[in-house]
Amino acid sequence: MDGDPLGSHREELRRGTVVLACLLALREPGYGYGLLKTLEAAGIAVDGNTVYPMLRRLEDRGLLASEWNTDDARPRKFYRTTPAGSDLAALLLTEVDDQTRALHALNGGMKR
Amino acid sequence: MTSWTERYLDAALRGIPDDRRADLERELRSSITDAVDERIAAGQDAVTAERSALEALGDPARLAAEYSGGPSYLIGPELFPLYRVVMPRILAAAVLVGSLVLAILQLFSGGNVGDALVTFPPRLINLVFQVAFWGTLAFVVLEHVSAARAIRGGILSRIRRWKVEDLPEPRPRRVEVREMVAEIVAVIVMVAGMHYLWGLAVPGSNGPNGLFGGPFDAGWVQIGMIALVARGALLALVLAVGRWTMTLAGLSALLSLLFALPIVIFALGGQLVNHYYADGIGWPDLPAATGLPMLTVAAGVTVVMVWEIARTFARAGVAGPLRSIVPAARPSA
Repeated sequence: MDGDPLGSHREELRRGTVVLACLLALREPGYGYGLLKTLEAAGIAVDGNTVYPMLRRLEDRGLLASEWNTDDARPRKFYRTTPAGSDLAALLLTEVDDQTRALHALNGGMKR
Repeated sequence: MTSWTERYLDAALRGIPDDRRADLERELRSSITDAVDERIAAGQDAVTAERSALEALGDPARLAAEYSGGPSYLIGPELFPLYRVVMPRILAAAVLVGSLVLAILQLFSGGNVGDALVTFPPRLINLVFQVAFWGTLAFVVLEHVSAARAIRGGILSRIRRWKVEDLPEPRPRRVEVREMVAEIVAVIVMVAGMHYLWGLAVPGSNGPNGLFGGPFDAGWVQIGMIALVARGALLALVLAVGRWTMTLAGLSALLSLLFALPIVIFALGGQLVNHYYADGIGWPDLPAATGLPMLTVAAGVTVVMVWEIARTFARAGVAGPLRSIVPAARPSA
């Protein structure tokens, strides 16, 4: 992070959106490491030590539901966004969109 | 040797209640195995893969803190400003009250003042550490113990209800640290000097030891030294508070008077100096009330005392009249 002026700011911006990203991604059931890869592929870089505990917290709040899948050779805990989680995700997404629009408007206003 | 993964799991899940632990361990183990497998599939050897997967996951202590859901700090950002305001004041009050109590106890126990001066600093340091520890612990309890949540909420809501009236008056001139330290050192030197003179051996005599005589020697010298020590503690308090207030200046003046007045009175009464000592050094007229030495002592001590008190009040006056440290602490209450 040293010498990278973007670093800490970017991290702060991302911190707020990781929950939203998880809720959106897990509308398709997924497990810990798979979710990391999904987010990574979508261009959202997060660490396991952030995501794994977060899955538990979201589950505790009823925003995710989980189920062990023991069909495969390796048992995995699959998470799925609950209806309450979907509702929250929709609200948060609107919020992010509004903010993005507001920021771009501000940016355009500055240019003129 | 236990594998890195086992050790990692143990470290990351330490402190997790048993009913959650098994499930968490199973999940975390599968997540780690997934990460290791992917690295092996990408061509790494098993050992390197395990190491890099675990290192990517980071310090297990952090993970443990996240899993247990507890805050990973001692005093959080909400309480910390209060902590910073309150602790110095509690410590300052403890030093002031503590040194006065110690001084008074010493006065009434009638013990050896020399011993008291030796035991005084460690006792005061001990007191400071005790107060700092228990004060900090109280904040930690407020922060972390759920039973204390209501109290914490009450305190925080009171702080948040901030009004313009809470604004402090413009800060008066702060005391100069070097100046205050020099004064404290001067006080220590004076106590040591007084103690030395008090026990001075009388040459060629079987009379009582010490430079001081009569009733001054029998009690007032102890009171004088205690007043000096108390004034030293007061100066330390001023240094901690950062400025003189009228209350502090008044206390300082009282202590100065308590130290200086007996010297002046006994000097002018011809009773300050031990006659045996004066005889012993071959200067029998030294203690005489009308002699030049005692007049000089009385005049000198008076001038220094008046100058000291006037200067202290002048500094407190610049600092704003009648402001005590209590209202200064109000926003934190």
